[in-house]
Amino acid sequence: MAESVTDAFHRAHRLAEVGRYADAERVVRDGLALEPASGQLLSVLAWVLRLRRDYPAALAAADAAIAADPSLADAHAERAETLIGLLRASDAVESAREAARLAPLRPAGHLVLARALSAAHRRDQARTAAAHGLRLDPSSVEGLLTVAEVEREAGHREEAAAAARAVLAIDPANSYGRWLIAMLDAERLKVRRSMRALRDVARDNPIRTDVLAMTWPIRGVLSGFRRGLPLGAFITVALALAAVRWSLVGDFARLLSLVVAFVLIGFGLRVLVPAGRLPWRCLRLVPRLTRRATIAGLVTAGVAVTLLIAYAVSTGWILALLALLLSAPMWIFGLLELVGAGLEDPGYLSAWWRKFRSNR
Amino acid sequence: MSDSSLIDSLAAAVEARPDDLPLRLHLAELLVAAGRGPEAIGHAAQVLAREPGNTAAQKLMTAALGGAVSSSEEAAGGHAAVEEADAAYESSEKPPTQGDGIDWAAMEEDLGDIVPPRFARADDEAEPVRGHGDRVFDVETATITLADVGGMEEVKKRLEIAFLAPLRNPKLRTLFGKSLRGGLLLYGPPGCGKTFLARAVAGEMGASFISLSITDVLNMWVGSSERNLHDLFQSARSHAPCVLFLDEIDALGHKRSQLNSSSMRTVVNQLLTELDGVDGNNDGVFVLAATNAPWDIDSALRRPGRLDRTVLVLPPDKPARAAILQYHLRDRPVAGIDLGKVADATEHYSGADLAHVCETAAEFAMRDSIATGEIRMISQHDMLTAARDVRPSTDGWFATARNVAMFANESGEYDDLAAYLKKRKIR
Repeated sequence: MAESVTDAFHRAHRLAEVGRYADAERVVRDGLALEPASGQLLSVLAWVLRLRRDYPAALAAADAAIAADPSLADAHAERAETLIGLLRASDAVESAREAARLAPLRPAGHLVLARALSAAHRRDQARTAAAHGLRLDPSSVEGLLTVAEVEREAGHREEAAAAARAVLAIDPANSYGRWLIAMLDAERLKVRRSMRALRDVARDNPIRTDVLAMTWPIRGVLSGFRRGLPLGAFITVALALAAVRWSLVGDFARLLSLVVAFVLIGFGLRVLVPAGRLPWRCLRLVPRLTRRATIAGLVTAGVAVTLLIAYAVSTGWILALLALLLSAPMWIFGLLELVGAGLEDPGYLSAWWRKFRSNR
Repeated sequence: MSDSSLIDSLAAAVEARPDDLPLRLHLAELLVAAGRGPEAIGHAAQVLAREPGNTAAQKLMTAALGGAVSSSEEAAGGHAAVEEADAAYESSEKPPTQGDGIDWAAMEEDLGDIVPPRFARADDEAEPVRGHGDRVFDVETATITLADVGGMEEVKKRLEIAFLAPLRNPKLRTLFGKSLRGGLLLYGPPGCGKTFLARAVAGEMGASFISLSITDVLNMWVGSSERNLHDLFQSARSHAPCVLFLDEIDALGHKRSQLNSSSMRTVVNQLLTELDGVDGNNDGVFVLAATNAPWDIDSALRRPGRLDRTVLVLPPDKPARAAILQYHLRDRPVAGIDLGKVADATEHYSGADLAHVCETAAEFAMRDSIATGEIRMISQHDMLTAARDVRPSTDGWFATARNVAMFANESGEYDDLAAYLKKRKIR
């Protein structure tokens, strides 16, 4: 049993730090039994509940903390973090602004504001807030990570990589920094390096392994196919139809069909071969719906490419049309991939439930 | 032919045919019968090294070890394992002047005021031992032994080979140059009896038992963890032989790279210092640690000389499950329960899950008794229905363990776990 609020506060922090979230929650609640209106403890409770991914409960605790002490910047920052998790970006921005207003010289408020703005797709404002937060404490790992995250979201890979590298210069074992660099490498198709880095991160933090990220080569190839195939197949079909009138165009359509098929195959090999077996092994570990949608997407893509090749070596334009029509299920499977991943995230689930209720 | 000449002839025969285990066993038997236990130990050990399950050799070893203890030591303690362990220390680590002729009981009594008691008496209640200042460490005497642990033969065998056998066999230890330094890490899913096993090991050794967990550290020691951890180890040293059990070592010795607060880092640093025994001699202090998350432990803690031996404690096997079920049903009204069948239906259940199954079955029977107004016994049907209702709580742990075996087993430290997961087709 906690002897004082400060005592409970410190104990809960230490317990949460070593991953004992349930014990930390118990200690905070013991402390709250002594002083139910402690904004500080309620704020810690919100933090612990957020770490346990119980976002609705965390939000309730953060609201209670604000009600207990409206001038507590930490409570507003915690509320903003929870709202980001709940996909309520615009509400998160409001809370984060309040946190930054209450403690303008503390970087934490500005950094959470940057993350909230980034989640709300207000990229430039997010970059400004992150830069301001970092200026207040230039050697802050959290600040650098936020800058890296926000820059990556804004599509500024070089700036993001520089910030992530700065994190690793301060804390070489930082998992998130290493993960960010791996994902930036993935975006630049530095497959081998990215997979090696992701594997290293997983080795050091096996219980927090991001298996979904480790399947990026497969999902990346599918994403490429989802974009390239409809375009290539559409032009092929258009040319094939034109060939009914101008027969010379038919040869060009078949040639194009072959080129599209081989470009797609080449892209797939370019990504999947250096990635090795790891993405396939991780695919078995991702949520069931995502896994099934990915496999279905791969099969559909394979069939579509085969149809394009078949059209190139035959004259049946219907084959090219079938390849084009297969783009629709590929996009559906892509959507299901995302839904499958979202089902594993309590924040997404909560957001979907809220949307469903508001639509009723 | 006298016993002695028969032994000599047999010894010559064994020397000529060292692989003839029955002959070696016979020689050991004669040696024990002739009261030459210490000579028999080596022969029994060689048989056990090749056939660890040889019960005749095990019995002979026990008899040989029992004979090796002096009568004065028997009077002092009564626990053969304690005495053997103690004798092991005296013979290998202490100066030769501390020979067999010393009456330890008398000496303990004489020096009782000067040095703390070496052994806690089994008939006494747990005696709180005060460290410096007002800190209190509960030193217990474990009364359970490995024989009290149902089933889990593999784990017991591993414990015997990795920990207890070197301790009990000073000669073999010397022969193979095996050090007694280092500790043992028990890891596995929650609720599978790691703490119970640790107590059983302490009981097996007849050693004192001190337990420490993260809650103790946070409850007592915020701000003074270094000094208190040192005092705790000192207390264990003064009660040698003593098993110091570090529960939830993943929290006490969390990866320092993941810790932000300096106080928690200090705990890890101090733990490392104490395990190394830089300030004090750790002879006679056996560190056992338990965790559900060995992957969160600072790698420095697992280096040689520290927690360098690991034993995977899996959910109980069938005999263990039957024993656990029987234990939890012992004071309940039961009729016609086939423990074997219930054990079959509860594969992969932890000890805690099995307790829950018994509790749920009791609820079913009680609910019916209340509804009908007629008391009825807990039946086989109740037990099987409860087993279907209660899901094994170990599944989540194994899902995490799968990632560990997949990504963090490059050095082979989780080979046991990987093999088990493969057997269960979890990978």
